[in-house]
Amino acid sequence: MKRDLFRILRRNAIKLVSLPAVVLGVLLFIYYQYIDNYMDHLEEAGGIALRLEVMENEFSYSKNLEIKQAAIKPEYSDIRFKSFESVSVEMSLSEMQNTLTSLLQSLYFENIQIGKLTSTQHGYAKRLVLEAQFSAVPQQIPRLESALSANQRAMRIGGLEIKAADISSDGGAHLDISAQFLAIHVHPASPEIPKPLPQSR
Amino acid sequence: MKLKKFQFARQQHIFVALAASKLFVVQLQQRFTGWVCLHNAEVTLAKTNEDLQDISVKLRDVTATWDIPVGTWISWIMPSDIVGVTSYNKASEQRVEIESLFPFALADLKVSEFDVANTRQQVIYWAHNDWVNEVAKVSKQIGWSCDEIYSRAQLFQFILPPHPAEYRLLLEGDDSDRYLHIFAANGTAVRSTKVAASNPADLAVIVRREIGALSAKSTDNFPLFVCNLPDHLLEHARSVFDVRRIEGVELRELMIRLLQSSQTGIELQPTYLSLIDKVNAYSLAFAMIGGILLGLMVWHDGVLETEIEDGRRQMRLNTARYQTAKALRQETVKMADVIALKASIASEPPVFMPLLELFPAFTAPATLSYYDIKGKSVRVAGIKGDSSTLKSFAEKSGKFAGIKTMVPPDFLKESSGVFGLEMQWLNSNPVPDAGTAQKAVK
Repeated sequence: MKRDLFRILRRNAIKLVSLPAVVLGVLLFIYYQYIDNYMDHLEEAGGIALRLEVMENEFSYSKNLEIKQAAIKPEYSDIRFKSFESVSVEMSLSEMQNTLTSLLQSLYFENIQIGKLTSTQHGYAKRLVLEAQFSAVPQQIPRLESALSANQRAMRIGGLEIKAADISSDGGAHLDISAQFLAIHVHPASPEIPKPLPQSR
Repeated sequence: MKLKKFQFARQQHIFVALAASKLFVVQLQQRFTGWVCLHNAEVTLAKTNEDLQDISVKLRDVTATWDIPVGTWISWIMPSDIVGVTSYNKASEQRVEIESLFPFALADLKVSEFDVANTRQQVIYWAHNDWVNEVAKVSKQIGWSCDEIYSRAQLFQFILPPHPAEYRLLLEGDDSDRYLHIFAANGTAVRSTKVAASNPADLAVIVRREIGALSAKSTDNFPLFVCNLPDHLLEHARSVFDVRRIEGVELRELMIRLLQSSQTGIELQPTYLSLIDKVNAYSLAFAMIGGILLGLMVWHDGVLETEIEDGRRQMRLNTARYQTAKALRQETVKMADVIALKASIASEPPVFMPLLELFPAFTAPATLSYYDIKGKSVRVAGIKGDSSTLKSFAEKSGKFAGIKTMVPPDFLKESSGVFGLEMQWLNSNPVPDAGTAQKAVK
């Protein structure tokens, strides 16, 4: 084989390579002329089939979702009505601060100081946390919790520290209170607007 | 183009090495891993002047059972008295006319391939047409095709170890037939001759004479490699030359190496035509398979284009419905998350309930001075009372656990009768099922 190859390349290389070259050339010509985009088409068809499958899954899923949503909607509407609803969590925190300050003032608490405002993500929902310090006398305390729950925007005390000070001669006390207030932030629209699907070229 | 069955069968090749008194025949077969020897035989010739027709009879007899296909290529390896070796150097300073190199007219000879225009040293192997025709005729009579006649020197050039000397000498043979081959530094044979000497002294003389015939720059220090010769013939040569033995040389192995090499002898018929046929046959097969594959791809490409168009149309139709469905899912998940968060907040212990539970324990003069609740951890401190009363009260309520005395907060340290407890709140609000809403959307 080796000696044949040496000799043929030296003497008649054209005879050895002509037909393979023609065959290869014709096959390459056909490929590039007629099916150059084959791999692109294959990939695109696969992508479209996958997206259609995703859509079909979404459609089949939505039938059950409608039923489920109808089931939880009343409870959600009730919660939403009593939550801080705004397009951003900062706006909700600000509203919560104003609401709480007004509420504490309406209950005659004194020395009201608003501390740290934070929020934590819980899926699509957000939990608002506000820390506040204020002063009171013991008789004011029972009204605080009922006022919080009766408020249009429901809030709840998550943590509490009460220090009694300045005990008066009649046994009364002045209380320094540090409390952590909790509430829920709700975005008015769906959290994510679906992206439109690509149109055909 | 004709596609022959044998083009795809295992190819065979026959080698016949002819010496003065014997004949060595080897049958080789090409396999995937290379050439292998199927059979080999040595035939002793009765007379030194036995002609090729008699040799053909013996050759036919010895290979009768070897199952050699008709038309198998056969290569002959001839001694120096049949195939001559000539060095041709067309350097500008010593131009040599090609005809003057041979003892016969060029028309009467068959010579190996050489390049007239090449100025580098070339080796030309030649044989008289009578021998060539006779060899071809004998080969044909047996049913084989003679492709090439090689010099014996070409067969042995593979075994020569490298050496820096200008020339290397190789003496090979046996008691009856002995040959001296001289190789240039680049490995090509420059002379080959039969050594007729029967005693050691004559052998040394002949070797020196052959060296003298070379246009060597010096006559000394050429290594004399010896292969297969008995020691007693080398007694005298050892005192004159640097004799080095080469052991373990098998003729059939050398023939395989010769067949695998690019060595060119006196070529009678080119063997590469079958290679061209084979390459063309494979090319056509490749063209057919490639054509079928390309055809399938063209067909499938059309199918894909239809699928893509249909898919795009379907996606356009589905887009609005899909956006609605996706928004519905996200809205439902959001609702479930909000409900779960509400449940999570509601499940936390009420901050005033532990205080209300403990407050009755503070009877005058005891006063509650400190109350702290974080999660379920409750800390209580007072003045003018004792912790044991408060502890027993908390234990009786059954709503506290882990009750233990604590260090009073700093602001009470200077007060008298300070006491304090820390405990865990057990009773909690009825917890809404936080997972219900989330399960609903799954």
